[in-house]
Amino acid sequence: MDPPDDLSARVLLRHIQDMEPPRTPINSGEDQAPSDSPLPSGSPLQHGRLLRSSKTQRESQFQSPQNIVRRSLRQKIHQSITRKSLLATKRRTPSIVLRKHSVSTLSPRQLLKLIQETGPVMSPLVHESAPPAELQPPSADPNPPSLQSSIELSGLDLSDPSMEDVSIQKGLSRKRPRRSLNVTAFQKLLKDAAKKRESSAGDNSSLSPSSSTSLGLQSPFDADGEKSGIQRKVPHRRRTSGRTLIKQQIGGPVMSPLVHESATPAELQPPSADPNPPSLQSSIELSGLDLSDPSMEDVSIQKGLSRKRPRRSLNVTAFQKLLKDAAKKRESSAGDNSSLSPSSSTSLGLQSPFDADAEKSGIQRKVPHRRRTSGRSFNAAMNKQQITDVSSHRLSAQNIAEDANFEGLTLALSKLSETDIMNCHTTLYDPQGAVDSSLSVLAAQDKPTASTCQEETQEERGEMAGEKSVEVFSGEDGAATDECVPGSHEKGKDDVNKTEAEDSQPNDDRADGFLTFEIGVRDESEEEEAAVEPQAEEGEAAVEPQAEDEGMDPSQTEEEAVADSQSEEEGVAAGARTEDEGESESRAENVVVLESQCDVEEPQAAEDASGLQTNDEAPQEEEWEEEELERDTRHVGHRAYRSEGGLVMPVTEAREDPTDAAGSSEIGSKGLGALGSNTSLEASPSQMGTPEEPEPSLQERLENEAVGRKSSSFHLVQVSHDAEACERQSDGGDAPAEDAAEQQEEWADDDDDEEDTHYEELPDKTPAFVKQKRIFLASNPPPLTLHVENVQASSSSEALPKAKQKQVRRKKTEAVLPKTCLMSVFKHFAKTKVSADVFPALNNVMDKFLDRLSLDLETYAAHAKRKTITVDDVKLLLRRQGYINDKMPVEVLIEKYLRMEQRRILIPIATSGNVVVPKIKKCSPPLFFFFLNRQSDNFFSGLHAKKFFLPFYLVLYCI
Amino acid sequence: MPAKLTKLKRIIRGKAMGDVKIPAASEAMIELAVLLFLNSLAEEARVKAFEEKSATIRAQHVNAVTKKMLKRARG
Repeated sequence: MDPPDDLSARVLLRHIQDMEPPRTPINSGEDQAPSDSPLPSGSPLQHGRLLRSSKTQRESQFQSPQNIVRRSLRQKIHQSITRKSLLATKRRTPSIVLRKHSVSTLSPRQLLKLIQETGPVMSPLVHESAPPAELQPPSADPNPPSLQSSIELSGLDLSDPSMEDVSIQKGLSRKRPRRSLNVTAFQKLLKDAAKKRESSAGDNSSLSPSSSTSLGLQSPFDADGEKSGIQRKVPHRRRTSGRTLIKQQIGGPVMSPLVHESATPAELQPPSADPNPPSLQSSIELSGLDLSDPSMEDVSIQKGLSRKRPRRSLNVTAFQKLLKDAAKKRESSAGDNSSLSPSSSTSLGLQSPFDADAEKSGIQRKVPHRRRTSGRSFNAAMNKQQITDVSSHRLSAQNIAEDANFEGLTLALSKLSETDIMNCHTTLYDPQGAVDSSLSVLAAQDKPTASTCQEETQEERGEMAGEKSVEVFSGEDGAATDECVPGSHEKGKDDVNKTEAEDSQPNDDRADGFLTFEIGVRDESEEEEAAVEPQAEEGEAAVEPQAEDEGMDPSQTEEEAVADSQSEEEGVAAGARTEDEGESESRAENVVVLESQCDVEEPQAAEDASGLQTNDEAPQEEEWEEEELERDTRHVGHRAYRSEGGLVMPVTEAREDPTDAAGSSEIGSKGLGALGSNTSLEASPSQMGTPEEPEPSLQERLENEAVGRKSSSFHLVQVSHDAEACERQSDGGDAPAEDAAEQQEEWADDDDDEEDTHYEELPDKTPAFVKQKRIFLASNPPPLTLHVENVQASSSSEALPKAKQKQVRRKKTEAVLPKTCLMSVFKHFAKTKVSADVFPALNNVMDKFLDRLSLDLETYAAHAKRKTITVDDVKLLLRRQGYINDKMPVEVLIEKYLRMEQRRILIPIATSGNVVVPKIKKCSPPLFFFFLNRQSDNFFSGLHAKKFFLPFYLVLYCI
Repeated sequence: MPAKLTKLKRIIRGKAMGDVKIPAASEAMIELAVLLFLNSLAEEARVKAFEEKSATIRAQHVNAVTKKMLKRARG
C-alpha cells in the first residue's frame, strides 16, 4: 500500500504545491472511477511485485500495457502536477516522459515535500490519485497482467530509481519518508501550511524539480545508506553536514533537479520510444541509477548524510522551531522558497535515514555527537542560521536541549557530590574520631616499630640508665599514685603517637617518642635486669617503643646528643622553673601532669642521666619495679597504646633530660631538674593548653636548652595529646585504671582550651600535691626516684582532682548513655535512616533531659519527704509530661515500651494460689468492689487513674 | 525495648543533688520515661527530616526539635 500512498501523497503534495488541487482531483476522479471498482488496492500491489520479477519475460506482451499504464499514470500525474493537460495519450513525448519520470522519481521526495507542505491534505488526495493511475491502465488495457504490470509500473515508477538496486530500499526509503511525514510532515504542514504552500507555489518551477531530485536522491541515498549506510552515515553526515547543507541549500536543489531531470528524461525517453518492458525497466533502472548516480557515489551519500542531519533537526527540532520560529521561519522560507523548499524536502528525506541511523547507531552516538555539536552547532547555527536555515537551528536546539538535560544530570550529580561532600564533612566533623583513627593507625605503626625500638632500647640501655632513673622517678610517683603512672604512660603513648604523627620533626619527636618508649622498655629491661617485675605489659609496651626506637635509633642518638645540650639548658631552665614550681605554677604544671609528667620524666631522666645514672639505676630500678608493677597493673590494658605512648613522651623528654642531666647537674640538679622538668612540663602543658603561649615559654626555656626541638616536640606532643585525648575518649573502655589517667589525660587532651583552663585550674589544685610531692621527692634520697615520684605523685595527686574534673567533664563530654544503646533505641523509634552525626546532638539532648529528669524526680521525692524515688513519682512525672493521660494509662505504656521483666515488676499479675506477684500495697475493699461493679468500658479508661484495681480485676478473672 | 538502657540508675544518682534511692521498679519507670522521650524526640526529628525532604534524620533535625521536646519534658 505504500506505493499508492506515496503516489497519492506525491501527487497531492505537488498539486498542493502547484496550487492545482482541482486538477488532480479531476484527473484522479476520472481515472479513479474505473480503476477503483475493478481492482482492490492491495491486490495490484502484489501482482505488481510478482510481475516485476517476470516483467522481462513478458516483455512483448506486457510492454505495451506496461508502457501504457506507466505512461498513463505518469501522464496523469504530470498533468495533474504540472497542469499539463495530457489526456489519454499514453505515448508521450520525452518531455512528458521526463515529467513522468520526474514525477515517479519525485514521488518519495515530492511526497515528503508535499507532505511537509500539505501533509494533512495529502492523505485523502493520495488515495484518490494513486488508484486512478493504476486503474486507468486496466481500463485502457483490459488485460489483467497489463493491470498488474501497470500497477507494478506505478509501483515501479515510484520505486524505479531504486528498483534495480534495491526495491526493498525503496520500500524502506518510502517508509522512512513516511516516518518523516508522520512526525515532521504534519507539524510542518499544520504550521507552515499556508505560507509554505504559497511559497512553494511561487517557486513551483524550481521547487518541483528540486523536490523530484530530492526524492530521487533519497532512493539512491537509501540504497547507499542501507548498503554502506550505517558505517558511512556517521562520518559522512558529520563531514557532509556542513558541506551538504550549504551545497544543498545554495546549489543543491538546483543541481540535483537538473541532474535528475537530465537523467530522467534521457531514461524516460527511451522507454517511451521503446515500449519494450525491458527498456522500461532499464530506463527505470537507468533513471533510478541516473538519479542515484550523481548523488550515489559522493553526492548521494553526502546529501543523504546532510539530509539526515536536517532530518534529525526536523524530527526533534521541527516542533520546537516551528512553534518558535513559525512565522519568521515561514516567512524566511517563503522568501527563500527556492532554496528552502528543496532544503525542506531534503530535510524530510533526510529524516527517514536519520531515523534509521539514529535507531541503528543512534543512542551511542547521540551523546558524544550532541555534546560535540552543542557548542559548534550553536555557534555555527547562529552564524549560519540564514544559510543553514532552520535545520541547523533545530539541531542546535536539540543539542541544547540535550545539553541541558546533560547539564541537569551533571547538576544532579554535583548535588549528589555536594551531599556527599556534606556527608564527608559531617564525617569529618568528628575530628576526634578522625584523629583517633589516625592516631590508632600511628599507634599500630608504633607497635611494629616498637619491636625495633626494643633493640635500640637495649643498645640505649646504657643511656637508659639515666632514663631509667627518670622512669624510676616515675615509678616512685607511680607508687605514690599508680593512676598517674598509667596516665603518664598513656600520655607517653599519646605523645608517641603524636610524635609519630608529627613527622615534621620525625627524628627528634620520634626519637624522643622512641626514646621514651625505649626508656620505658629499658625501664622494663632494667626492671628485668634488676629482677624487677618484667611485666608482660611493660614488655609489650617496651616492645612497641623498642620497635619504634629501632627505626628511630639514629634520630634518637642524635636527639640524645641534642637532648644533652637541651637537657643542660633544661636543667638551667628547670632551676628557674623549679623556683616557679615552688610557686603555684609548678603545681599547675604538675596538674598538667599528664603532659607534664612526660616532661617531668624527661627532666628526671635528664637528672638521672646527669650524674646519678649509676646511683639512679639502682633506686631507679627499684622505683622502676614499683612503677612497673603499678604500670603493669594499670597499664596492662593501656600500655598497648597509651601507656607506651605515655612512656614514650616522658622517655623522649627523659632522654633529653638524661643527656641534659648528664651534662648538667646531678641529684640535686635532678631534684631541681625534676622541678625544672615539672616546670618544663608546666610549660609543655601550657603549650598544650595554649600552644602558642606555652611554646614561647617553652621555647625560651628550650632555647636555653636547644628548645627548638622540644618546642616542636611539645607542639607535637600537644597535638598528639589532643589526638590522644580523642583516642583516650574512644578507648574509654580500655581499662578501669585507665579511666582516671585517661580522664586526666582526657582533661588535658580533650580540649586544648579546656586543657588551658584545666592547667589554669590545675595549678591551683596541684600546688598542694605538687609541693607535697616535691617535698616528698626532695626528702627522698634518690632524687631520680623523686622525679619519678614527682611525676607519678603529681600525676596521682593531679589525677585525683583531675579525675574529679574529668568525671565532671565526662558527664558533659562523655556519652550520657552508651552510644550503641542510645542510637539503637533512637533508630528503633525513628523508623527511618539515622545518620551517625545525630549522636552528639542526641547525647546533648539526653544529658539535658536526664538532668531535668533527675531533678524533677528528686524534687518529687523530696516533696514527699522521701529519699527514694518511687514508681508514683515517675508516674507523676510522666503524667506531667503528658505521656500519661486519661486516654493513655501507664500500663499500656509499660506493656508497649518495657521488657517483660520490667512489666512483671510494674504490673501486678495474679499467679497460682491467688497470689498477686507485685504486691498491691493499697487495697481498699469498698473501692475494689466499686470498681468491680463498675465493669463498663469506662472502667478500663478509669483504671489508669486508679491503677491498683486493674490487677484486682485481673485477679478476679483469674479466680 | 530494642536495647536495655543501662546505667540509668547510676546516671540519675550521679545527677541527683542529694543521695537518692532508686528501686528496681522506679528504675524501670525511669527507663520508660526515657524511652517515651526518645520516642517522641525521634518522631519529631523524623517529621522535621521529612519536612526538609530528607529521608535520613540528621543532627540538624534533632537540634531543631530539641528545644521543643525539652520544653515538653518539663516535670
